[in-house]
Amino acid sequence: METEAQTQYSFRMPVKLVFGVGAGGDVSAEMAELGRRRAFVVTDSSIASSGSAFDKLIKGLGPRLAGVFKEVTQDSGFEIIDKAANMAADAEADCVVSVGGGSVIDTGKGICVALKNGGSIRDHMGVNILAEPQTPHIVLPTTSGTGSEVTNVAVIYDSVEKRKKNLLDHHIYPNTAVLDPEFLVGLPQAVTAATGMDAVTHAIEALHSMMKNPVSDALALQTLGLMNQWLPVAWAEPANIAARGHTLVASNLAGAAFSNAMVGLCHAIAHGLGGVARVPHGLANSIALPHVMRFNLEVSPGLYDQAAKALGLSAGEDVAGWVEGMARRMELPMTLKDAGVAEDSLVEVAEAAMTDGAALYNPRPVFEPDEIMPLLRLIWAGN
Amino acid sequence: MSHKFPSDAWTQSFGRVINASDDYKQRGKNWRAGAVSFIVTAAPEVGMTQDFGMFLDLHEGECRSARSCDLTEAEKAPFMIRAEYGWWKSVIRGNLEPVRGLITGKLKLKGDLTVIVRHIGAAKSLAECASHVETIFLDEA
Ligand SMILES: [Fe+2]
Repeated sequence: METEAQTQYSFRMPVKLVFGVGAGGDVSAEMAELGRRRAFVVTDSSIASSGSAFDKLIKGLGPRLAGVFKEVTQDSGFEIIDKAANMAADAEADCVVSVGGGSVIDTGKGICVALKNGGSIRDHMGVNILAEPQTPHIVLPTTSGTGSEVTNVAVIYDSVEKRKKNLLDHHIYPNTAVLDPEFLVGLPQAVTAATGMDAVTHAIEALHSMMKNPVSDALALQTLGLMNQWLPVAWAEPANIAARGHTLVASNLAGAAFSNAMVGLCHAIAHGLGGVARVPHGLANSIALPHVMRFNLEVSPGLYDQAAKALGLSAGEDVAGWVEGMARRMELPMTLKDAGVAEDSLVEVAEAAMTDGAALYNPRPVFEPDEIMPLLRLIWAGN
Repeated sequence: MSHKFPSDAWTQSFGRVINASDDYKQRGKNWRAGAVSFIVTAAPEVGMTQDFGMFLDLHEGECRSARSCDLTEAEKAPFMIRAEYGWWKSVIRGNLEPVRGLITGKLKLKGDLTVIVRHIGAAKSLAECASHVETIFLDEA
């Protein structure tokens, strides 16, 4: 399928990657390269008390540690960011080091903006309005999922309007992503499975997006190959450092792919499910993805032929089945019904999904909630 | 009658095209999120020595006023979109879809993107209206 984006595209990936078992102990060197002296560490309470890898990071920072903020919550919002930015300013921090999953990393991005510009993060919401580089940001992901360490978006909860908002800006790409598999050892199986399927969804959606291009394709296909081989291993053997490393890299590649190619209808639905029915993001994607793929295939045969090749499958039509196989193998719920979603919430989910930017890039255009109701019922019931 | 872009006359003509559009009346009927301002950044190469602001008071499928404005006023709109002259030209010519322009950084938005996305049909309709304004581009005048 030839789209406008394929004949004319740009690709942005300005983040330095550092990979290594134990690399988290050497963040000081990355700070020195950025000319920074005082690190403000942002994380959540469970990571802060998780032991070895985090302790190694703190010890490694030594005198460069300006403070630790461990109050990030799942739906981190304006208030948390403002509070942390004030603390960072009081501590005279000159860089932010985020250690965590998507919520922590996005909170870190917000802190960098608030710290640089002053005032509340509320005053800086928008798309590409920041005029200059922000407070330097080093990120250590602790899931092989969101890929947020290489994206230019932060999802921030507005507790007044009770919904998530996007801060999208080329100046919020982190400076450095330190990929240390030790941070993933011990991640619970259910989290490994769901966040891994989120990364798989990033790859598949980058491959079917209207904004796909050859560079994002290459990264997405590599993601699928790595996840196919290593995600089930990381799930079955939580302390397998090689499996943790490969899946961490895979989620990172998928992040770089989708931050350029964007995602599609599956993410729009997952965001709707998160907001309306509190379904965890990765799980929502895992359940919805095969159905969205079949929905897209109806109008665009051949859409997943590249993916099939990368996975060693004979036809593009088999890729949705591969997704289901992965989820089943890792004992994830296969339907929204099994995930505890009430059927009567689907109308609200459809409405929320259609207000989500991700839907704009789906290869099968959809605009009205009614158009996706049959699909949602299928995702709910499974057949 | 043709108008130079950007100018106060062009902006007013844009407002008239919007109000004559059944498509916008329909697709913009749920827009209650307030005024939208557009800034064309200074482009000395085409003779624009200062930023140029346009202010559109849009409400429920209607453009209640359309005029040029200064930057202080533009800042007061809940949604302010800023771009270089050349990108605005691409939007008006129909060569750059506005949301794609935002995401790729060609257009810059101060305000809440999710609101724009919820009204994507209205945004596309506005861009179509702009393409129907008889326009003389400064670099082609
Ligand atoms: Fe995702």
